[in-house]
Amino acid sequence: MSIKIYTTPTCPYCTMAKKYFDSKNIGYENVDVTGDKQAAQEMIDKSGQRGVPVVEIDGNIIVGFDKEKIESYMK
Amino acid sequence: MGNNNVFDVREGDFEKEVLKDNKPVAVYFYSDDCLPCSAFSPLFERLSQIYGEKIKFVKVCLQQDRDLGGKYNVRSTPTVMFLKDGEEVCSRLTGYITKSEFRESVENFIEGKCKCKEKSKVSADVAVLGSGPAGLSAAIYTARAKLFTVVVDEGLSGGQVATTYHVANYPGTNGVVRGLDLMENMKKQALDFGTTIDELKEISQFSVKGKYFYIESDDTDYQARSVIIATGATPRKLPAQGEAEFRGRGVHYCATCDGAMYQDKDVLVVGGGNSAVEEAVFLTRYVNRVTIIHQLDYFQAAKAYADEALKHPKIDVLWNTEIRKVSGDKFVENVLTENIKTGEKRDINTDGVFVYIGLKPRSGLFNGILKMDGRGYIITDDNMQTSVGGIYAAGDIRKKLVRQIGTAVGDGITAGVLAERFLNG
Repeated sequence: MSIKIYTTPTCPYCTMAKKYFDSKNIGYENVDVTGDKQAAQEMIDKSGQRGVPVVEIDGNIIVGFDKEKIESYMK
Repeated sequence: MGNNNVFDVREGDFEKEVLKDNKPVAVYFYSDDCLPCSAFSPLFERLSQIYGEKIKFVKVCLQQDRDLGGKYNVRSTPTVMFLKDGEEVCSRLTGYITKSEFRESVENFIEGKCKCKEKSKVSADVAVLGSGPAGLSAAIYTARAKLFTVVVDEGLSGGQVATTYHVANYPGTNGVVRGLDLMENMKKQALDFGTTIDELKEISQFSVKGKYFYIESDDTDYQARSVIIATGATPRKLPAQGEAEFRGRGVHYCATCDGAMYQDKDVLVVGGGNSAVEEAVFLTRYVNRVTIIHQLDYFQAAKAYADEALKHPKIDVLWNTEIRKVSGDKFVENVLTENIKTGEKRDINTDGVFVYIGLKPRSGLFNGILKMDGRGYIITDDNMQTSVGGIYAAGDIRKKLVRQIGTAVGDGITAGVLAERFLNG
């Protein structure tokens, strides 16, 4: 399973999303979109919106910290 | 004691004694100085004498083996879990566990009647709903009074404060404390006094039966003798055409989250209270220009915040103005505003709209149970007592005039002390 989280450092929901995966001992790649225009654009292209966090699980895009959706893609 | 039916197991022996054992095992996590544990320990020993031939009874001291507890996500004592061939089965028991409850679980376990994924049951003295400053302050007091306290939150703990970048006005801090840090401290203090915090539990049902209160969540059912409601409030949505369509695509409710996406762009902030002007100032660290759109001709925000925004070279204000429509192609490109004094309509080009126009109480679960005002805020007396005995409300969810971290803390403490008096008579 490959997991990527697009985040900003001041965003509490991003921290929540990261903590959630930490609590389950699941590894992920954290992409900080602050000041990285290319990463920010990649996130906008993939999710069609500008809110963080965006969680990508094996190509599936989840906008916001949505625990139910995250769990449904991890099964 | 000398009861050889109960095995004291340390982490190093857990694999051999529990996971690799041929018998099914009931594992009891306990700690010293825990009242529900001292009530439960004799029951555990008693049942081990009756059922000890069929299953193995194991005790683990959570204080000595925190890593082991962490591995199984055991956060409170007493907790009893059941394992067969190294795998957990049946639902866990926590809180005040009665003899009949325990006996029933043990018998079902022996007969193989329960499968995985049953809801766990927690029985507590005090259930605190919400883990913002009101909820955690209440928990600090009730847990310290040795009441078994469970804090249940739909998200992660911290409430709205956790999404505030800087908290300038909370007494005793240096004026630049980060909201997230302040709440981490409160959380740690509550945990250190023995509170259990259950995060990420979506509460679906709240009910009152006799002397007990029941809270159902997706995977756990709580029963409590007293409840402190501190569920707070969520931001009100912008009442303009196109809001739902462009939410996240230019319409945002959290500047600390999404502000960084607007590097060198022009954005609007809607509102005139403390949050609106504070977040407008926060946004200036990223954006080119902030225009505050406010329906009145003055800010309701405290003067210090208001002045900072008014003096800021990157911030302008449009007074007496409301947004009627948000539009664009894929993302917000412009908004239609109306001056509510002159009726003049104007199109403004913008890249994003950050909305801070007040709050909506999260009190839907208590409709028909508790007295509320017309806007859904819970009505209490001076001591946080709601219209139902044993239920208290604290913080932003209450009908009151001043909603600040400090007042939420005060409410929480009052509710905690009163809940203790209610329970201990």
